[in-house]
Parts: sequence; structure tokens; C-alpha cells
Amino acid sequence: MSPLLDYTSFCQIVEEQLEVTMQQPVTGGERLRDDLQLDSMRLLQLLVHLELEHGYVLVDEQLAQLPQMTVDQLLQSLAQKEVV
Amino acid sequence: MIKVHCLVSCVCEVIKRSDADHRPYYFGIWDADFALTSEFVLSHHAAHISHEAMLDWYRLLYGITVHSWYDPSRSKAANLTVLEQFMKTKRPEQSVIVMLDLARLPERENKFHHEVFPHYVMLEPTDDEDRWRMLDPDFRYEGEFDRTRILQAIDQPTVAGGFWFDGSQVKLPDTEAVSSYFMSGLKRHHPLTEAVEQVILHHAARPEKLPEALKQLPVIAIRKYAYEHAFAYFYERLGIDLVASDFDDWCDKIEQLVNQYTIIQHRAIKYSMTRDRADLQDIQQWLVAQTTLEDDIKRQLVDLFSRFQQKEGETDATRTLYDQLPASSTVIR
Repeated sequence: MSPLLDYTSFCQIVEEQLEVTMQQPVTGGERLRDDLQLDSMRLLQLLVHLELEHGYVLVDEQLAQLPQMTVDQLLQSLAQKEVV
Repeated sequence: MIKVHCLVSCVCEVIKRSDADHRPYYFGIWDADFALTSEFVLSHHAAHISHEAMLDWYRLLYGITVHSWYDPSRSKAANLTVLEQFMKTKRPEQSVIVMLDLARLPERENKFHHEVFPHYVMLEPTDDEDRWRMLDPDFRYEGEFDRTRILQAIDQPTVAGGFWFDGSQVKLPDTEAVSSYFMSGLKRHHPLTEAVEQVILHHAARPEKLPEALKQLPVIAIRKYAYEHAFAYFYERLGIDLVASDFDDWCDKIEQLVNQYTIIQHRAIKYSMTRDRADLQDIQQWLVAQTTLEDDIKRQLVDLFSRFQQKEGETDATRTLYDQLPASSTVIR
């Protein structure tokens, strides 16, 4: 299944929401914490933005793994939020 | 190996190299002190937090007295002079521990990416008097730094503290000391979950500062992994096979406890953006879930402890029912 977000859109959202400059180009293998220097709180802020503004969610069971994820792993794990 | 508590990791390093079992020292670390500021901000470190009791138990368990070389009544410059002098004269069997701001050493891994990160490490001199070796058992790191850079990381207003001890004679902890230590550290309530609840309630009406108030929650939450050491220790002392038993199930519960704090942090950030009461209720449900889960873990631990005491022939029977523990948890007899 193809991810909901491409690299360009992801980088744009990260830069806008977290006020950071991303190293370009992103290849997908970058680890969110160790390579992109995004701490756990900023990653959670990003997730909340993705949910509220774009309708993309990460299941609770994967939240704790978020800092260790790569960009690809995050993008592959994002799912469309179910509308009740 | 999981990071749990930096000072505990430092003093346990010498125990791990001896015949003594370091795991009992992790009893109670799951509820080790943290701070809640007057602005209801959670902090893993504060100047008023004393490690005196923790280090007293280290002496009672392993026979090693830990001395404080840092004198808070003196200036930072005076304390740095003491440290430099001690590093020149210390014997190999003496260990030096110092608190520094890890964020001032950017080449060091700073998993939490905090702007200020008070952290205890150990120091050793090298053949070059301008270079010191830093041992950081908590993050399993060892490396050399320019002495002046380490001193700069210590010379920060946000950090203060340091200890030394002679680790040449490690005593094997006896059952009585292990039992007393377990009982002294067991709390019926769950201070971290209660503190998180206080933070949430305080910021509920104006939640814009709520994310910052819980920023350090992950650093404190990982102390819950200390439960794993206690389970492993009691299971082994009771002759229970870790692989064939339910040990992994309890480890999963402990990991779930840690991970659910991340969910709470996520929901808190969400609530700060939505201000939706449903999100607030969601947080409260997770807090209840945390309490229930940690109740289960502590109850099982007390049952194990009771069986351990019976096996070891302790004359004072312990109550096995968690509900009967006094609030102070100082005595279970």
C-alpha cells in the first residue's frame, strides 16, 4: 500500500509545524530522532497536527516506537482516521 | 539494557563487576523522587531532591559508603577546584561521580534532546592531564573529553552535585537487608501517575502550557523498567524459570505501563490544541488504566516478595495482600 504522504509533503509539514529546516533530499531511511533531531515531544506534536489537519493517525501501540522510526516507517504506518 | 536512573547506574557499575547482585538496588526506583514545580511542570531533577536515603541503602546492602565531595554551601568554582584536586590524587579503586549538563556536550547522544539535561556520570583521569575519561553507565557510553569541556558542562547553574566512593570491598547483600530495602521502597500509591493527574488538572482550563509541563515525562517514566530487575531477581531466587514462566508477560505489562505514559503525553498535546473536553476525558481514562496496571504489577511483586521471604526462612511473615499495605509502606509485618 502506498503511503498517504510523499516525502515532499512530509518535509513541508515538518518544516512548517516544527519550525525546523529539513536536510534535502529526504530518502526515507532517516531516523526521526537520531538523524532528524526531532525529540519525542515534537514528534507527538507533529502527529497531533497530522491527525487534526490531515486526518492521518498512528495507532497507539506504535506511539512509543515513534522516535526510533525512520521517515519511511512513519509514512507507511500512518492510516486514514476513521470517521465515526 | 534500558536506561533507568543515572545515579543508580553509576553506583551499580562497581557492583556489576563484583559477585554481588545489583538488581535489588533497583527496588523502589520505579517510584524514585522527581519534582513538580510551583507552575505544575514535571521535572526529573530538582535541587531539593536528596539522594541520601538511596545512598544509605547502598551502604546497608553492599557495605560501600558514598561520600559527597560537592558542597552546596560553597561556590561552584570552589567545588570545581575540589574536583580537579581529587582527580589528580584519587586511587584507582575510588570512583568519582559528578552531575553535569549533558546538553552542553552535543557530541554525546542526548536521546531526549532537552535543552538542559542534568545527568550523573563517572570520571577517570587519563595519562594526559588535560583529558578525562567519562563513563556513563546509564547510556552505556565511555569516551575521552578535554578536561575543560567537562568542567564547563559541570559549571552550569542548572546542575550541582557529586560523590565518591571506594569500591574495592563489595559486600554481598544479605536477605534481611534486601527485605528491608524492598519494604522501605514500596509505595501503595503511584506518585508519577498522581503527579501527571495533578498537572493535567492544573492546566485543564488553559492547556497551552500543558505540553511543556509534561515534556520530561518520558525521562521519569522509564524508571518503571526497574520493576523488571525486581521480577527477575525474585523469580531467580525462587527458582522460577524465566523463560518457561510468566516472566515475559510481566515484562510486557511493565513496558505497557511505560508506553501508556507516551499515549497520555500524546493526548495532552492533542487536548492543548483542541481544548475538547472529550480529549480531557480520554486522558483521565488512561490515568485510571495506569493506576490499575501498576496496582497489578505491585501486587504481583508483593506476592513474590512474600514467597521469597518464606523461602528464605524469614521469621516475620509478610502480608501478601497488597490492599493491606499501609500508605507509608514502611512496614509490612
